[in-house]
Amino acid sequence: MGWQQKVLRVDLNAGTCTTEPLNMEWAAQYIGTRGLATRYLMENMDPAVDALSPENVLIFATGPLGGTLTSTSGRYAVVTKGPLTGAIACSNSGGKFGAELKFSGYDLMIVTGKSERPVYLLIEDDEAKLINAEDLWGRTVWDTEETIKARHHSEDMKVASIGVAGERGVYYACIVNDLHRAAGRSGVGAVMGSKNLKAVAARGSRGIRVKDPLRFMKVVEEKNQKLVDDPGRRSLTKSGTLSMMNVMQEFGGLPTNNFRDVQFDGVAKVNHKAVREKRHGHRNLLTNKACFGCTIACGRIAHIDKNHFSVVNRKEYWHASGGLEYETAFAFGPVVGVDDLDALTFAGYMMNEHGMDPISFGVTLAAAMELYELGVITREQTDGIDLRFGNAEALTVMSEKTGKYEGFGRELALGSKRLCEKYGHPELAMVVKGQEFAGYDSRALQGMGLGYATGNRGACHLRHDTFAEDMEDVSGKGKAQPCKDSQDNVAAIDSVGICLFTASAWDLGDLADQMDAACEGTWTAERLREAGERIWNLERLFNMKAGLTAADDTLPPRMLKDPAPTGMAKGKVNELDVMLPEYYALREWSVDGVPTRALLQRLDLEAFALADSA
Amino acid sequence: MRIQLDLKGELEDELSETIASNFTVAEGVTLEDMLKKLPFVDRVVLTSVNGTVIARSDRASLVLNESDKVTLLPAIKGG
Ligand code: SF4
Repeated sequence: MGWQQKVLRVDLNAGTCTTEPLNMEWAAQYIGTRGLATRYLMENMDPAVDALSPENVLIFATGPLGGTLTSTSGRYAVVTKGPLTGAIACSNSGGKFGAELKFSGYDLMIVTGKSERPVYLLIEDDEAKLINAEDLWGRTVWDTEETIKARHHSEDMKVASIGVAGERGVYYACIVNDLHRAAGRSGVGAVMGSKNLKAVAARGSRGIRVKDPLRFMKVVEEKNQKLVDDPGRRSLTKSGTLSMMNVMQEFGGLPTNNFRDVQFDGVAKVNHKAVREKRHGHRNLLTNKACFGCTIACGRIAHIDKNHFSVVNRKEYWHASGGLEYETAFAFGPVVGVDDLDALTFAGYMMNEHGMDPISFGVTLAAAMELYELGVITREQTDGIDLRFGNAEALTVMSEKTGKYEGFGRELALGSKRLCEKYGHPELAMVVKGQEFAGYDSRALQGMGLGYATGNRGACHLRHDTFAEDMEDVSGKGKAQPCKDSQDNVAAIDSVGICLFTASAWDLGDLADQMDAACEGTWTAERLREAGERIWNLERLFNMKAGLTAADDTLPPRMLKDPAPTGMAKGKVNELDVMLPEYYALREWSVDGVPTRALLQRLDLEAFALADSA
Repeated sequence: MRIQLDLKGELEDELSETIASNFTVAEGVTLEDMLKKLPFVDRVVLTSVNGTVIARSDRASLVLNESDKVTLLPAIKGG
C-alpha cells in the first residue's frame, strides 16, 4: 500500500528493461524517494567510481505518498553520484512526471551502464522499452518533449529529458520535466547525458492503493485545511518564494556581486512587486501554477516583453513559460548585479530550454564576472562580451551560450570551482564540495552556513531549516542543534514523496498521520525522524566511501575571513569553527566527522561502517 | 501618534501599504505593546526601529516615538 512494490531496472549496456519486487524491508527503513533511492544506490554501485562513467547508477524514485491525494504528491527524486561535487546527488522535482511514473506501476527506476547510441525510455504501464533517440540528440528540452509526445500521439504523456547541456556534460546540467520543472542540482542531467539517455517518457494508468481509504481521505482533508489556513502557504500562493528577496535585502543576507556584498541596490526592480507591476502595458507575472495535486501553487508563469533586446525578432520566446522564483531571481539578479527583469526571465527560459541549474549557472557567471573585473579573464576570451557585474547582455548571452555549449559558455559549463581553479583564483568560487551557494549569505545566516558546509550534496538551502534561529541571532551560538534536527526532518519529508513547501504548515506528525493511513505498518513522527537521521547518515557514508572527508565540510574564505560589509551582520564572518565541532558531537560523529559504530548500530547502518569508524 | 510599519516578506500581505505606513499607536507605547496588537505577531522574528535591530529582550522597554519606522521581518522558509 502506498508503494507500488515494483522496481524497473534499465540496463543500458544490454538494452534491456526488467522488473523486480521492491525491497519492502528497505522501504520500511528508508521510506521512498530520496532515502530509498540512496539505499538502492549503495547496493548497486561503488561510490568511488567516476560520476560520468558508465559505472555510475542513476535512480529515479517516487515516494509512498507520491501520486496519492496528499497535497504536492507529484514529486520524484533523481539520485546518483553528482559530477559537480563527486558526492551523492539527490535532486527532486515537481510537475507531473513523478506521479505518472508511479501510475505506471513503479516506485523506482534504476538505470545502469551506458547505451552505445542515444536512446529514450518509454514506459507505458508494464511495458518499458528503449527507443533510438539519435534524431533527438542535440535538440532542446522543449523540442524533445514536444517531439516525443507527438510521436506517441499523447499529450498526456509526461516527459523528463535533458538538453544539449546534459549531453555535453555541463557540470550542473539538470533534468527537466513538464517543460519547466527540474531535478536541478548537482549535475544529474550530465549523468543522464553520459549514459546516452536523452529522455524518459511515462504514461501510466494504474491507481495507487492505500491501507485505509476512508481514514486516508479524512486525514488528507484535515491536513489540506491546515495548509489552506497557513499564512506561509498563502504567501507562497500569492507571491511564490520571491517575497523573500525583500527580507534578505533588509537583513543583509542577499548575495550580491559574487557574494562581495550582501545588499543589492537594484532590488526593487527584481522583487515580488516588480514582477506584478505593469511595464510597457503588461506585467511580467501572468499567473501561478501548481504541480500535480498541489494545493499551494507556488509556481510562476511569466513572459518577456517582446521588445526586450533578448527576444526582439525571436518569436519563439514570446510565449508564457516558467517565471522567477527567489532562487532564480537571486541567481540572475543580485549575485551578478543585474536588475533587468526581462533579462532575468530570459535567463530562466534558457535554463529550462537547455536544462541547467539556475543557481549553479548564476553563481558561476558571478565568479567569471569577478575574474573579468580583476583582469584575469579578458574580453577576447568572452566572445567580445563585456562581462562586468550588472551587464544584462552578459547574462542573456552567456545563459544561451552555456546551454548550447558554445564559446565562453564552455568555460562557464565547468561550474565555479573548476573555473576559478583553472584561472588561478580558487578562493572566488562560492561553493561547498564544488556546489554553488544558494541565495543566502552565510555571514548573515550562520546556521545556513553550517548547513551549506555539512550538506551531503554540497551547498544547499533545501537540506535544513535554521531561518528562524538565524534571524533571531547573527552568531553561531545555538545553531548546531536546529541544523542537525532539521536536516533529519527534511530527509524524511523528501522521502515520503511530497514537496518541502508543505513544511510551512505541516510537521512530521502531519506526515505520519497521512503515512499511517496510507501505508503498511505504524507510522509516527518519531519513526519518520529516525528514518531521516538514518538517511542523512547513509548519504554521509556514501560520500566518505567516495573519498570525501571532514576537510570538505567547510566554507570559502570569503565567508570565513571577509566580514559582511553591511546589513544586520555587518562586521561578522561565519563562525563555522565554533559550530562544526558542536554539530559533529550532536551527530555522534568523531572529531573527524566519521559516524561512530554506536550510532551506526542504533540506526541499523553497521553494514556500511567505515574502516575508521570508532 | 503615527508610526510607519515596514513589513517584509509574507507579512507584506497582512496590511495594505497605506495602513501600514500610517499606523497609529498611543503615546508611550512600547514596541512589545504594539506587536501584541498585531494578529501576526507570532510570525515576527526580527524587529528593528529606525534601522537598529531591537533584541527580543529589549522590546518591552523600548518606547516608540512619533514617526518611528518599525521594520518587521518574518522567518522565511526554503525557496
Ligand atoms: S508548492 Fe510549488 S514546488 Fe511545491 S508542489 Fe506546489 S507548485 Fe510545486
